[in-house]
Amino acid sequence: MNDKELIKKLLSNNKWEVNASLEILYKELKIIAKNIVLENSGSNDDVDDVLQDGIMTLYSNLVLSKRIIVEDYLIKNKAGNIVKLSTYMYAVFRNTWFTKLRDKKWFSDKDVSELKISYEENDVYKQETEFERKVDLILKGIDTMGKKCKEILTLFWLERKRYKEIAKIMGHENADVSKATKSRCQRELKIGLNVN
Amino acid sequence: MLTNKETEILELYILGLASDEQIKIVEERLSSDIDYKNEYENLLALKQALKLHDKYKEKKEYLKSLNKEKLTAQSLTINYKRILAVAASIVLIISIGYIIKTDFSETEIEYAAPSPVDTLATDSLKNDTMKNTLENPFNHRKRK
Repeated sequence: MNDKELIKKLLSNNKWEVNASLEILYKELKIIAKNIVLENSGSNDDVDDVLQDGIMTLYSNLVLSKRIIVEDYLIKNKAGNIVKLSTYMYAVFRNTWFTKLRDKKWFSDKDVSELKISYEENDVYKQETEFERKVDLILKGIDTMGKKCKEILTLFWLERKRYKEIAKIMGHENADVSKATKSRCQRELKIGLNVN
Repeated sequence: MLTNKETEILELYILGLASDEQIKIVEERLSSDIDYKNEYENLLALKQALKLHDKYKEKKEYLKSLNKEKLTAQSLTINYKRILAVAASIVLIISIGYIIKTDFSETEIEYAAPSPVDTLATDSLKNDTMKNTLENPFNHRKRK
């Protein structure tokens, strides 16, 4: 399957087509992630992590936040040239892996900024607004937060439940407990926003 | 920094649950207070991110399941190889045992049936000795 067909399926509303494309990407891109990780002090378990995180970065940027410049189902850079999916993913995997190495304290911030390929990855992104940047950061924050926190925020913001109802659903003693819990969870995400 | 009450009203405004009076207060602040507007955008971004997160999580789980399938397949292959190795070892041990047993039983048959030449030789030896003894019973006691 070529880049155009893959991107078309990823952007479709058909769950099965999206999953099929993700599976193809998972199989075809593994060799790229493997080369990057194993050549830079990583293990086979790290390969799988980088592969998953990298594909999720593509999915998030292409489908959810629509940050990537796409024309006629092909990725384009700011100069209007086509960027192959494998070229973009090479940069994503490399940047994902070096960020992980920095988090493991194996590499310093300086080393990582020198090793990251910022050009190929960043050149395909649209001019991002402050709001889109915030959404992206919070999205990642939600992914790492506890299940209870996510549940209470979903009840409040998406299902528009009031604290009394939330207390019943979550098994809290009263509405005040729910209110305090929700505020604490929300504060955690905001701290993430300010740090970044 | 907004007070709890201010944040609460802002949240009601975003959820579309604010009263007319509250709407008026919020909209006035949004047009004049940068910090207030910033907090408003943070809460809107939170709502948007929560909406997107379900899709994000679903796909992440799907990718994880692909990895699990791969791991299960790998462990099945490893188990399959182990079973084959054990089976091969058992077959090998049985075969070696059978070969050794067959060799020994063949050897026993060979030794159990002495050749006629050997029998004759032994018999003749026995006969000679017996004949000598019978003919000269005191031969060995003879004094010169």
